[in-house]
Amino acid sequence: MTRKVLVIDDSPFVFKAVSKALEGTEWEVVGNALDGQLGIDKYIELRPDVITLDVTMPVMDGLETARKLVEINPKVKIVMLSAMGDETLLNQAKEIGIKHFLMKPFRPETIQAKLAEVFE
Amino acid sequence: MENTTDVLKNKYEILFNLAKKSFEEVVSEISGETLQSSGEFAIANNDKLSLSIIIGLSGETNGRILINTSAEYGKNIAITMNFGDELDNEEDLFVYLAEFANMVCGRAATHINNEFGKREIWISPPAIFSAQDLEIVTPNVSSMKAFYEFSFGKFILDMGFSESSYDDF
Repeated sequence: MTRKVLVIDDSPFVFKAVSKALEGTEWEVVGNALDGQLGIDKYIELRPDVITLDVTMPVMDGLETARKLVEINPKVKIVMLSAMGDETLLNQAKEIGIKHFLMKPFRPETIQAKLAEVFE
Repeated sequence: MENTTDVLKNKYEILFNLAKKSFEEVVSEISGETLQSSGEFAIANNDKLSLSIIIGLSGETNGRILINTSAEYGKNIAITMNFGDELDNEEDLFVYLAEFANMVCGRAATHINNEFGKREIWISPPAIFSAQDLEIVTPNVSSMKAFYEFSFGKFILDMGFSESSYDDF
């Protein structure tokens, strides 16, 4: 079964890297958005199974985006994929209900394992 | 008893050491190499296109991190980040290097915030400057530099701190 992934990150690199890392797996990257607001629009349009979400983004940062996504769908599955991962940030993310976090840079096998973990 | 200047100097040294640690960790995770800073060298010359990636730091401490290299050396990092494949176009070099700097500075912010037990700094999106013999000067900013030479080429990590407001620099 193929599972759909949406990448929300202001760096086009991350969309490319995640797409490459998931080539030939059960995961398919179906879209990307360069800021949080666009990400919410894409989520509503594409209804992916899981989202990779950056923290530092223009227009709407990752935490605010996550809050809004949870409002739209309390069961939304999110992996925070960020260059930052301090305790304060992790605690803020946990308060929103995000349990999965991966720091950049990542290797293909790491992100595949992290996505699989979301569905365990 | 330490005066305010000494306290700040010590704090900046802690921040810079954590930034160095972050650069070394991220490069190691990308390249598999173990890094150590080396003696001072220059990158800019007439034959190479110089690149400077700048990321602003805001919060309790204001400043910026500069990563100086050349287009040739930067391309080595970008190709490795692209899982060893050649870049699709020239613009990708800047996209990949911006993300590289974001990873280094994000890691630095993580270490720094954990060290101080609070949100000491936050990072801004990166900007890249490219020119022959490029030199970026940030007035009113005291900076510390670390020099790295490894298989990808030469890189200079330059961390500067402003004692005034972020808008002033």
